[in-house]
Formats: sequence, structure tokens, C-alpha cells
Amino acid sequence: MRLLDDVNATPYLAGTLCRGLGALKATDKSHVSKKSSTKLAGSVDVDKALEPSQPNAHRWDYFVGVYEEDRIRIHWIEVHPASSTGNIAQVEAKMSWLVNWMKTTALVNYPRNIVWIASGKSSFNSRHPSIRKLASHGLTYKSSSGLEL
Amino acid sequence: MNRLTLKNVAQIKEADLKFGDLTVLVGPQASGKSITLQWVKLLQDTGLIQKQMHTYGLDYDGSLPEFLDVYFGEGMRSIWQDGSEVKVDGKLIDVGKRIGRQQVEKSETTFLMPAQRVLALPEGWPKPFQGYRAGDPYTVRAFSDGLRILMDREFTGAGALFPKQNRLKKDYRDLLQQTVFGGFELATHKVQSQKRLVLSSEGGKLPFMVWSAGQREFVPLLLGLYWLMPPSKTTRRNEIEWVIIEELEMGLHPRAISTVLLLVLELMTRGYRVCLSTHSPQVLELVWALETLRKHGGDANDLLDLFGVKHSSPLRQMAGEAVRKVSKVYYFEPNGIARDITELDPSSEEAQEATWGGLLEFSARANETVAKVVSNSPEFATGDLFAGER
Repeated sequence: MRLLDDVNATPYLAGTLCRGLGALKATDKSHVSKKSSTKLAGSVDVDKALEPSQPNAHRWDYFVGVYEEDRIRIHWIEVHPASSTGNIAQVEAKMSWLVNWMKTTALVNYPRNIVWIASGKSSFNSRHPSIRKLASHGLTYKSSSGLEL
Repeated sequence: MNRLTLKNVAQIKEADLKFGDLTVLVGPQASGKSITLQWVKLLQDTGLIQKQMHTYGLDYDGSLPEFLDVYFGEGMRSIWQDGSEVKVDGKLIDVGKRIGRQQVEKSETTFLMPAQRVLALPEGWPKPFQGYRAGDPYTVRAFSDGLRILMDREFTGAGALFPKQNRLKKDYRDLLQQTVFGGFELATHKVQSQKRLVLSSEGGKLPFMVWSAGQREFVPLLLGLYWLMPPSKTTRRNEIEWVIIEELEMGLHPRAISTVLLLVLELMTRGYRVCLSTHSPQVLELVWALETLRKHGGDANDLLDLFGVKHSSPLRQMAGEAVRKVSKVYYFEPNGIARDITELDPSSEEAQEATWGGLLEFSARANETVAKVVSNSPEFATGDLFAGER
């Protein structure tokens, strides 16, 4: 399984795999850090790559590949406001889109971590029932202090 | 007192607390929260405490170590060490000198409901001050004796103590009935001339030992609240300004905790300054909401929505005042430092603030664990998890 091959074989993603966290916009990158021991397999700006083909879809932002012993785990990252409960419904819609899109690609075969990072101040904490519901659907919520890979 | 600073007292290296109308202390066991709250009481009511000890034959010979063993409890003289320091509003207190001399006795200004309050009602009746061992903490003895005085003076006859028409607003009584007492009423009952508190219903009378854990914990708290909210037009009891409640959540279901928190707001709107220690995220959720409402123009209706209670006129009036009150939260770290985490910002770079002094750590990890397993399951990959929601 080579991430580069699988990205290039995915419609509209060919040639979009960037080194390290290179696909992330600077403001979004500030929410993602990595341990010195973490080796990155590259990143893709999914939102940008699929905009021409799916302009009105609730597209997910990015993914980042991380080497884990003999495999690569894909971290699907959405940097999105968390300032009101309305944001939860938006992320739910994006997640629904992600699942449906992902299963049409070879990327579905990778172990994964689906993460929503709050882009600013949070209006809810980890005990919020909607955050629990998202977790039970496979989504990890992170405050703007972010995700460490 | 607006500020209390403790340095090198017991396990506390430094705690510099600026009090709000509501001040909440959080932190792991044995991090110094209870000791700090007992210092608040001691510094406010020194003369009264000394007099009470003298009256009941507790002789500490003007010695600070002996006083500490009597006040904080057996073996607690060790909390005062070389380099120990107490400041009130920035002014250094000579604790040895203060304890060595009888201070002027004034009316009680600080009412402390200790974590061990269930011990105040052995056999279902308040135990007097002298009923305790000399090594038992003063705050437990004083609270217990206060309940005894309340029962002697204000509940002399038989009959219901709860619900009782002139005690607490009807809204609170209804909520307590639903969340704590169920179909029972709290009443005084005599067995061979010995009075005791019972929970009574048509089915009979239940003595203290068969009450639920939450009921046993709550009844001493209820009696304390009766003391603080007298059945007259005066809103406060005598000269009392401060109310300290340790771990109000003990034994209670979250709905009952909500009711008790409403009563805490009632205390605040009556002009009491309230200090709490807690291990309950629900208490911090109240502070989080209160501070947000205060800073962003929230009103009484918003606050009552938080509690999910009806918007009656008395509750609206109470909530209208409560949303203007200032809260503070301090986290007592295991390393002995107390930190101001009032913002309770879930996005804070500071892990202890983001996890509310560790109270949210487990819930965050539970979410992450569940999400990780679900997102890697076959049901996720096929989209079946979302099938019913599209």
C-alpha cells in the first residue's frame, strides 16, 4: 500500500499529495503539531482538490498520512468553528459527505482518525451530548489547542 | 476579606485566592482545598472559635500547634511549618500571636458546611459540640452543634420539616421534592421520648440509616440552608456573610445537584458570598455558563433555561440578580500551586484549564476512544452508521 499511488489513483486528487503538512493553510497548520518521533507520509487539501468537481458539497478539509510501524494511518482533519451548536450540524454534514466519498476511493482501506479541530473559541466541552454523538459516529473533537500527530 | 494568600501551609506551596461572589476550588484529593476553606473560617471568626473552644473545655494553652490540632483535627499541627505564611488582603497575619491571645468575640460571619456533614446526624439527630472527640475537626463539631441549635429553637414541635410552607420558596420545595425526597416528607418523630428525623410517607416512617446515601448527605445541607434562609422578611441570618459548602454534590444525582446549585444562586442573591469545593464538572458548568452570561449580556431567562426550570416570577427575580454575580475558579495542583482557571476555556493552551482541573480528562478520553474504534469499524467504512440519518 503506497499512499502516493492511492492518492494519484483517486479522481481529482492526482498530484495533490504534499510533503509533511504542506497541504494545510498556515492558519490551519497552527492547530496541528507533531512529536519529533512522528514521520509524516504527506498531506492533501481535499477541500481544494474536489471543489471543481463538487462545488456545492460539504467537503472535508484535509488528510495527513502518518507512518505507524508497518502501516500508514490517515488523519482526516476538519478545521471548523465551534462557536455555536449550529457548527455541530455543519460538521455532521461534512462527515456524512466524507464517509460516502471515502468509500469510493482506495483511501478507505487505511486505518484512520477523523478529527474536528475547533478553529477558535469553543462553545462546548467534551461532555456536550452532541460531541458524544459525533464520537459515537467516529469523530474526535479537539479544541483549538489542536491535534498532536 | 477579598483575598487570601497561603504559602507553605500543609501541602500548599502557594495559593493566592481573589474571591468572587462565588468561588469554586477544584483539585485532586489532599491538594489543600479543605484546609484553605477552613482557614477562611478561622481568619474570619477567630474570636468566636476561641471562645467556643474555651466554653467547651478545649484548652490549647495559647499554643499554635495545639490550637491547630484542635481546630483542623488531630495531627494537623504539622500543617504549620517554617516559612508558613498567611496574608489577608495582602497583609501578613501573625498567626501565632493571633491564636495566642483571645480575640474580640463577634457574631459568626462564616458558615461552613463540612464534607463530613453526614456525621452531624448520627441516629438521625444533630450531635452536640461536646459529643465529638477532642481530635475531631472543629468545623464538623461547630456545624453539627449549629444544627442542634436550629432544631432546638426553630423546630421544637412534631411535624414536617420538609416540605414546610415558610421554608424555602415553593419552586425550590417542588424541585427538592422531585429530585431528592420523592414522595417522602422529612419530619421529627419521637421514639420513647427520643426525637429523631425520619422520612415519612403513608407507608410508614424511615429512620436515618435506611435513607438513600443522597438523602443522608442532603438533609444536613438542607438544615444548613434553613439556618441561612430564616423564615422571615430578613434575607440573611444575623451577621453571616460567607457560606462555605464542601462537595455539595456528594451522593446526589445530577438533577438533585442542579437543584442544590439553584439554592446556591439563591444564597448569592441574598448577599452571601459563597465558596465551594467540588469534584463535580456540573458545578464548573454552572460557573462557565454564569461567567459567559455575565460577560455577554445573558439574562435571567437564559440562566433558568440552563437549569431547565419554569420561569416563575420568584425564580426570574433570583436569576436576574445571579447573572450579574462574579465567579472565580481555582485549581489546586498536586504540586502545591493554586491556579486561577476561571475562564474554563475548553480551547485553552493550558491543559489544566482546558480540562477544568482534570474534571473533563476522562470524558475527553472516552470520546476519543469511542471515536477511534468506531471510525475504524466496518460499519463506518460502509456508511451504515449514517444510513438512518440521511
